[in-house]
Amino acid sequence: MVKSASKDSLLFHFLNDSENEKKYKSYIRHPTKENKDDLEFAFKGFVFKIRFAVYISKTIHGLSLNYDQKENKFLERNQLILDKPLESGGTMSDLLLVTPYNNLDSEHHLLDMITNDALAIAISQLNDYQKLILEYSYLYELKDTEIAKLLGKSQQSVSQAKKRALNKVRELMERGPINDSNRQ
Amino acid sequence: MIVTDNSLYALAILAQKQNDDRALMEIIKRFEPKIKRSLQQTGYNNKEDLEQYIKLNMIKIIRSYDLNSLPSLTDYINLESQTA
Repeated sequence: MVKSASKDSLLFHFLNDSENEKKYKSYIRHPTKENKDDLEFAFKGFVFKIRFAVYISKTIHGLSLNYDQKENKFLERNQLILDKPLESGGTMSDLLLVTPYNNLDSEHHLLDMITNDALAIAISQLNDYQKLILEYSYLYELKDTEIAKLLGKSQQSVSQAKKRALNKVRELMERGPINDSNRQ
Repeated sequence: MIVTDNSLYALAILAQKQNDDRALMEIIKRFEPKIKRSLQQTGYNNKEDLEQYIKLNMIKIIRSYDLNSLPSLTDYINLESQTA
C-alpha cells in the first residue's frame, strides 16, 4: 500500500524522511503499541507542521493587510495635513474649522447661546453695556481693542468693564439666583 | 504522551497542555523570518506595532489550535485506499 503511494501524496513525503521511514520499518517489523504510537506521533507531527505552517503564513499575511487597513482608516480620520484637497472638493480645514461670527448682527445674542441656566440668569442681570461687551468678546471673539474702536471708548475702559462684568457674573452665580432676586 | 523531540508539533503540545511559555516562544521564533518579511510591506513607523499585533495573534492561535483534529496514520491510509 505504501509502496504504491504516488510521488505527490502526503505519505510519500512523510516516508521520504529517513527518520520517519525508520519508525515505519520498525513498526512493520515489530508491531508493538510503542512503535505504533511512535509512528503515529511522527505522522501527526508531520501533518501538523504542514497545516500549521500554511495556516500561520496565511494568517500573518492577512493580519498585516488588516493592520494596514486599520492604520489607513485611522490616518484618514485623524488627518495630519489639513490643507490637502479632498475628493469632495475643498480641504479638511474647511470642514473642521468653525469660523466665528465675524459679522456683527442683531440676530445672534450671547444669551441665546448659553445652555447653563445659572450662567444665563447671571448674565441677564448685567446692564446692557456689560452684556454688549461680553457678547462682542465671547460670541464674536473680538479683542478688547477692537471692541473699544467699535464703541468709541478706550481699550482700558473696555477691559475694566469686561473684568467687572465677569466678576459680577461670578458673584451672581456663587450667590445663586434666589437670594439675588430678594436683594434687588 | 511523553514529548521528547523539539518538533513543531511537540512544542505546540507543550505550549497548550502545559502552558509552557518557552515552547510558545520557540514556535514564534521559528516563524520569525515570515513575520519579518510581512513587516517590510508596512510603513517604517508601524513595524513594531504590527510585529506585536502579529505575535499576539500567533499566541492566540497556538493556544487554541485544535490538535485533536489531526488525522492518525491509520485514518489516513484507510482514507487513501478508499478513494484510490
